[in-house]
Amino acid sequence: MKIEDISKKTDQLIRIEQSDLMPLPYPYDNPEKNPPMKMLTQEQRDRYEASLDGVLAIGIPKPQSAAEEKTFIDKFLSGLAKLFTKENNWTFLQPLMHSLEYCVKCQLCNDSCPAYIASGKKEIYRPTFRPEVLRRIINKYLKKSPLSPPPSQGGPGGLWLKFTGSDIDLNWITVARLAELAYRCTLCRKCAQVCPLGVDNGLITHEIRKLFSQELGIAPKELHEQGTIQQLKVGSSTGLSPKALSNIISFMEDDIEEKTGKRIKIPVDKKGAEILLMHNAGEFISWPENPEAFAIIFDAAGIDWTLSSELVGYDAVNYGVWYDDIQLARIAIAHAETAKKLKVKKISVGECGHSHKAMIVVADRVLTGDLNIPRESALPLLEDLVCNERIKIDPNKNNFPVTLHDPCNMVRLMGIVEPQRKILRKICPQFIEMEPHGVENYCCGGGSGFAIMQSMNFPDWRSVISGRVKLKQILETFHDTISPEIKKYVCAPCSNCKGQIRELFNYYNVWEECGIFYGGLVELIVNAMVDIEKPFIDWEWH
Amino acid sequence: MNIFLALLTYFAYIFIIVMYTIKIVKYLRLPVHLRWDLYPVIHEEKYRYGGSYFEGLNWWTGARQKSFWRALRYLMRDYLYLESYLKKNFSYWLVLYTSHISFVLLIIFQILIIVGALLSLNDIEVSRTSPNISGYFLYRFTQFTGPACFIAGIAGNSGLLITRFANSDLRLYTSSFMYFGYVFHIVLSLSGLIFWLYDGYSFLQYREFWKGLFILNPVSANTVLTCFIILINLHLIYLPFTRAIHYITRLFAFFLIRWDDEPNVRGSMLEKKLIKLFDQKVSWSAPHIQTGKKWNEQ
Ligand code: SF4
Ligand code: SF4
Repeated sequence: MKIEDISKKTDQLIRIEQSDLMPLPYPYDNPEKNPPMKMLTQEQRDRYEASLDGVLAIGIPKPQSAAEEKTFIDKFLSGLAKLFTKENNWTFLQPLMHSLEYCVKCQLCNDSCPAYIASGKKEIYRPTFRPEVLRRIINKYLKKSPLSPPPSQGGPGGLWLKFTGSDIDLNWITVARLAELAYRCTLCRKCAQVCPLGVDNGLITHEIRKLFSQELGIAPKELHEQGTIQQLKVGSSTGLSPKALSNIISFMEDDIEEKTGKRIKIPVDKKGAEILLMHNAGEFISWPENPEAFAIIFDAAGIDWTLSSELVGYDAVNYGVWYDDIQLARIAIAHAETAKKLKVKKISVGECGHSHKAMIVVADRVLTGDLNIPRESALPLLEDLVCNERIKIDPNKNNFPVTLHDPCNMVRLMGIVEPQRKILRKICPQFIEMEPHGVENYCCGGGSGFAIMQSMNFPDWRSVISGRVKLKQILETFHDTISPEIKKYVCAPCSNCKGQIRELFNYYNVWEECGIFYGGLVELIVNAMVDIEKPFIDWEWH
Repeated sequence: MNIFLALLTYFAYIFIIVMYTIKIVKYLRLPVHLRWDLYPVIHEEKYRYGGSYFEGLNWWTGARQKSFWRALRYLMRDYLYLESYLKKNFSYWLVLYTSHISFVLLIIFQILIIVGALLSLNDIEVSRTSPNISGYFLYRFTQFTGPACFIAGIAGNSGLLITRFANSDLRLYTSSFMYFGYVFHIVLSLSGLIFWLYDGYSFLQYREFWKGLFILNPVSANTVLTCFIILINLHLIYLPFTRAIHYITRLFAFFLIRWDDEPNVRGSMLEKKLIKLFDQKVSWSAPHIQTGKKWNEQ
């Protein structure tokens, strides 16, 4: 396959075949026994542009007329031009220019990409493929060089463009495929980490997503309409309203009492509290045991804390960080305003990787003046409570094999590596590291929004391709204890990673076949607390 | 011909200096961006395992330990032997390193020739029998760097040409312009090597040529030297159109992007810059954006 093939009208650029995929270890070492990827229906194919790889993350409807095609291309080009203007894209202009201009195409980064290796090295998933397509479009259609206009526009461009390797045709299919392709990279930035020249192919993907969202209004609906738009409107990307939150909090208080025998009042909207704890609202709905565990720990340690019931303030997520700078800024400001109103001393982010990165790191240059409220991860505080014995722990209660998944956003992109490990070393006698780990970890496959994207057959792609390396790592880590009789635990201190691991394990039936469970970090802490009599982890698959 | 060679040389040097200055200034004048750090950040105290100051409780209260020199040393080490390539792909490293060495030696060679010309203008003999120690060593260094650069240039660039053509992954991403670059370096190196042999290993005529340039009195050059001078000048003109400036931009990418972990503090210069940036109008036109309004009004 050549790069310029992205513009050619073919049924599908690549096909994902079981036999091409990276092999998995036992008990998934027979590719024929592994579940096949769902195919799109004919109706879906007729309706949407699916000629990239037969998978749909966005699902762009096919154009009905030549005029519609032209508008689409023109808008794409106008958006592309805006990416290079200071007023529209000061946010990432310097990193973007660097990454576009200084890649020497040595391909050193290729083998660090989980999607590329898992797919059996399909060309379109190569970290350098997307950037190269974009570079060619820019060189041919955007740059004002006297040599670059194509012959159709009166320049000698044809030959020159071929000579300089900028040969590509911009048509509807190129643009639609590029939009889909921007959602085959998890923005894990492992490729960027190995690049000797500081080029960041993940960043280029991020910028392509932005151009589609900010100029054409195109983004996966789970990130946009049901994500950031819904969060700003009803308070949470989950659709959770303040009223529903209040019901869940009551439920959590009852649940804590049932599990621990203690009645804990979960503080909400407590003015002047030391800490405003912000969770990914998905925790309240899918894994309430996680915010419950936080409440138990904070109560036991006598921490002065509160949750918020303010719109947006009870959902730490900020999907804008993956696809849209304006949405990122709006949500970051809403988060900070919640804290400002409550007059808390600081915001502490619970177990959600991208919320960490968005709220603490990226939004640091969005929040100015009195909105710049101190923000930190909850992990150093937990480390302090556990390692300095501010809560009593009996590690024998966690005497089962445990491994740690490093969420990219928290670790490679933020440098929070040791607090979670120090805790696990203290509370889990059978803690074992995955390889590679820490800042060199592999993404769970659900990064950059993938974990919540449910479009058509995209969830299958996520389990078969983007999560494949993580599954392999987990199976290899528990290689010696792989029998389902031995219960094992993957600690993933991130809601999105947990969502992805749940789907991945469901897809391959990992709980039944290998006895591998998953959950957060605080659940393990509470499970080991001396004054909690019953086990907190119930080993009930959900 | 003398005048043409002289003018071409003046032009080539002015051109590359102007072009590179424009590129660097353009890069550095780009606005401050949102944070996009990537760990390990080498100036951080916990760089060994990729830790950051975010690992500390109330991180904004503690004093930051930041080692600029460690970060610089780390980058320099990679400059010295292209460590990342050495670790990941030895055969590619071998040809790449050889070609990089030739490039660096070419710069050193040019400097030695220019300094040699200046010494001669000051009546210091540059030769193997020079009574002046600087003249003697300069001569010897030039004698070594010249041929070493040309041989490495032929070997490294031929190696790169073959490797990029033979490896299908690399071939797909190699343009004719890149192949042209390798061939150009080979031809330039060959011409230098021929001149060295022809000139009796001394580079005397080339130094004389540079002397003429300094006193604005162009001297004539024989055909072999003329070819070499034309090629070396064309090379200087060609460089700004390549990614060769990555020697410098790489430093910016690490310090200004990948390792930029500077927190935004209330009342700081950084905050002032950000407030200005938020005061710009946005022309994005998606339905959820208020086109024409400022960032801070969205
Ligand atoms: S991104 Fe970096 S490592 Fe990858 S091909 Fe480009 S220069 Fe090489
Ligand atoms: S950011 Fe991650 S998923 Fe995307 S190309 Fe790089 S390594 Fe692959």
